Amino acid sequence: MTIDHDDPDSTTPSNLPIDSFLSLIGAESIEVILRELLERTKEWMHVSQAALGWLDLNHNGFRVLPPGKGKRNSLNGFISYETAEELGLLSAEEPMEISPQASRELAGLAPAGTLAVRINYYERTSGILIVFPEQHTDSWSDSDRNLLKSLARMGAELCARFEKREKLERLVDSLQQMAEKTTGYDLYDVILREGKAILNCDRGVVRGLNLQNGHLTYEASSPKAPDPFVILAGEGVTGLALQQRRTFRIPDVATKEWSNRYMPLWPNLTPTRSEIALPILLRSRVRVRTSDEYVNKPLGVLNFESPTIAAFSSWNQYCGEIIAQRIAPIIERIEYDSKLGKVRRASQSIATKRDWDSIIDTLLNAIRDSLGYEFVSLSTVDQDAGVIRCVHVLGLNKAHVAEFKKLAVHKLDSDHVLADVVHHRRVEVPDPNDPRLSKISGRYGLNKLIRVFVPMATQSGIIGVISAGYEREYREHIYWRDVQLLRILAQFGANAMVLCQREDIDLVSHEMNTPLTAVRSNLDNLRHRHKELLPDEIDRDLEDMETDTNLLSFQVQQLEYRLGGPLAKAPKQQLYLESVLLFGDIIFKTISQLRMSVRDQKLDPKKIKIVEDDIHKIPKMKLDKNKISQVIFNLFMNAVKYHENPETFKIEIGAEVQTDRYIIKFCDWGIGIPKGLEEMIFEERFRAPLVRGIRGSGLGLTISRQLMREHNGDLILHQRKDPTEFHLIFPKQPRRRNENPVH
Amino acid sequence: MKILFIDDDRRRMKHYVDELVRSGNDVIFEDNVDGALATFRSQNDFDLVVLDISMDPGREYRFEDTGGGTRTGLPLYDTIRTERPELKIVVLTNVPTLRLASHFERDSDGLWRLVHKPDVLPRQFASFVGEFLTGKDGEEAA
Repeated sequence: MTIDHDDPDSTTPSNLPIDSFLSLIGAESIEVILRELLERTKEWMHVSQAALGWLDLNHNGFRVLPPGKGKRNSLNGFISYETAEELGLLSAEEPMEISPQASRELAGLAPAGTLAVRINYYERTSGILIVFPEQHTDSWSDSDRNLLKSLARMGAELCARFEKREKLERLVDSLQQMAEKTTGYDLYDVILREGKAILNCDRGVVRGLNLQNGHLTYEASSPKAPDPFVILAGEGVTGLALQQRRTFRIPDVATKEWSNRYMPLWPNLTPTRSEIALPILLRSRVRVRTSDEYVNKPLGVLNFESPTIAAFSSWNQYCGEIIAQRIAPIIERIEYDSKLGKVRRASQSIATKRDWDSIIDTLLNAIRDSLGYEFVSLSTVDQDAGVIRCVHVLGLNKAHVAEFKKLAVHKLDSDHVLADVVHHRRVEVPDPNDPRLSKISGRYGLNKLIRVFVPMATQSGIIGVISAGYEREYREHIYWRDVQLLRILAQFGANAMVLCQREDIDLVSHEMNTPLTAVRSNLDNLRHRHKELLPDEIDRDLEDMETDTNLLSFQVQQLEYRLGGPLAKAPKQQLYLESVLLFGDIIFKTISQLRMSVRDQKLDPKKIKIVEDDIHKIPKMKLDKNKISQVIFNLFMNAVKYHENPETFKIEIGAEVQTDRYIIKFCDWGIGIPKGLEEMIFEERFRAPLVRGIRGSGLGLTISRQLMREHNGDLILHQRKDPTEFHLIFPKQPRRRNENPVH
Repeated sequence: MKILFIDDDRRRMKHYVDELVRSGNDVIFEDNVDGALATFRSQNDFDLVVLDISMDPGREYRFEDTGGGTRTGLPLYDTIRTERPELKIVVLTNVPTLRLASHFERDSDGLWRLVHKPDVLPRQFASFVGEFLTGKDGEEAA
């Protein structure tokens, strides 16, 4: 910033005692400078009367400096902006004589021949210096004019220096205050208070950019706006400043050029005449494809306004731009801290999840909610199948999710972006029109988004890729700081998923080892202690072994299903049908075998009841005994696992005969099925929210229903709670080829 | 020797307890964490604690601190270790031991053993405990 010299070619007259002004360089106030300037002007111009009008920021015009003690001037106290402009005082480069008529208008009783010059610096006329001739004269000499011009220039220089020093001192202090703020509210408070003081104005407003829709939303103002409003993209002076990424300093918003664009925020105050709109931009690192670039990230707009025409000098603009520039990283830091806090909380939440589905669900919701992405998906790597497939997605219409997941499967040896991210283990932000993004992107509107792909790395390799994005109309870029947070969450998610896999393995190992160890223990006891054992002790060991081998068999079956991939795709198993009594050959036996498991849970086996009158309602049927036993076993184990407490624990099994079917009613008085999950409990891998830390494979009911349907029957939930009632439906007619099941 | 045996599976641990008793030990069995700690705190003359890993957290521990109950034995070990720093503890579990060992390695080798249930039959376990208590088991059993 340089002083705007009115006439750089002119030279200071040799008789001007410049030294006498040097003492004013460190003046305490601008008034001291102005008074000295006025006195020196009278002295050197050899006049007894002179006046100095100084810009009044509360009124449109120049307030004449009051005379010192015992002195007088004949000027009116105020020169309006319009009068000064009409007289040409605001644009004249040289001192100008004012006509007698104008002089009278300007100075009341002042004689004709008045000579005036503006004091101009920082692209603003801050004052008008006027000298009155001792006697009527037709014209001033060139020497007089040069002298007055030099005096005005000297005054401008001193005032500019003073203002610069004063504002810089305050600016430094203000920026320090701003840097210490940790909330947007506190920061805006300081910005507005200090900004108004530094820019010598009475009103200001901060607006933040809503990156989702490009709107500038009202954050804070001083004074408080009675009816704050949102500014649309490009609207008003504010919107224009952000759109063009530059400061707008409007001397008079009431002029034809600006009156239609200006949007008044304070209808309760003296109307605004001048405005300065400062875009808040932050030089930010962004990810473009696989490398980094820097762009100006728009954060909002800072506005200051004044009821005075041309209230803002270029130095004001400079100070305002410094404020806008320096608050950008503070705003970003506050926002980043807020996001980081959310990421920390999300990470803690992920760490408490104990199953794969909950981890993924929590992870993706955290990415969306903490980082503001509109679309988030997670694809996992299946090395055996050589593909990467979408397993969870947020941000799509619910009706499209299943289809999207079905289609979003890409070969690892393809050139799809997901495959590239896995191979190169790097973060990528592809161009939305990148041919490596499949046609699926277009079908679901993902080509309107800018998306980032982040690999989920573990020690053993990449286990998945997170894709997150938002509409690029108002956000063209993926910012690196957001990518950093996304990587933190991805890492937490990956660790939790690996841990979950390990825990799953541990769980399976534990669940299978438990009955196996017990069988070995009993066998060893029988072998080495049989001579010491009483017959009932031998019976008890044998009974234990039977229970544990059945349990082990059940665990192995579940494991086979788990390792065998999706149940829906599994080939139907051969049924070995034989004529059996449901109660006599299956239900009684299964209950008997599981009596020990009931005791293990500290429950009373006597609370398992069969409705005796119903036993003979069901005749012999052709069934696969092992498979129906497995269904009964599953229901039984669920009832035991999900009992509410030992006192209320109860299982009751009855039967009903209908026209075309037999129904086995399996009732338990446990914790019940949550409302809304009645059908979901039959879905593969579905697990209701954890209760008392009980973990299951999420397959028991799915397998059971499938086994019943293979018998041309069905398994349904008849009642959610008190009791929870499952119905096993067996058709009366034997199964025939190509016949549809009864469900 | 007086042994506190903590395992939530009373039925399946019966032969382990029986063999320890046959070996001349006085064994008190507790099948839940809260009861076990109450017994432990009320009797300060135990020579050894045998504890399981996967148990209900009870009132003593938080669900999230015990891996949903799959690691309850770890904080239980820490509690006992804090209250009786010199007490010998045998961790007897069906959980694969590979990923558990690091939890105990900060303690002196002479104070703990980690035993995988499928690796030892009840008679072997009783013998192992006897050697551990007398300090004759060497390092290989851990």
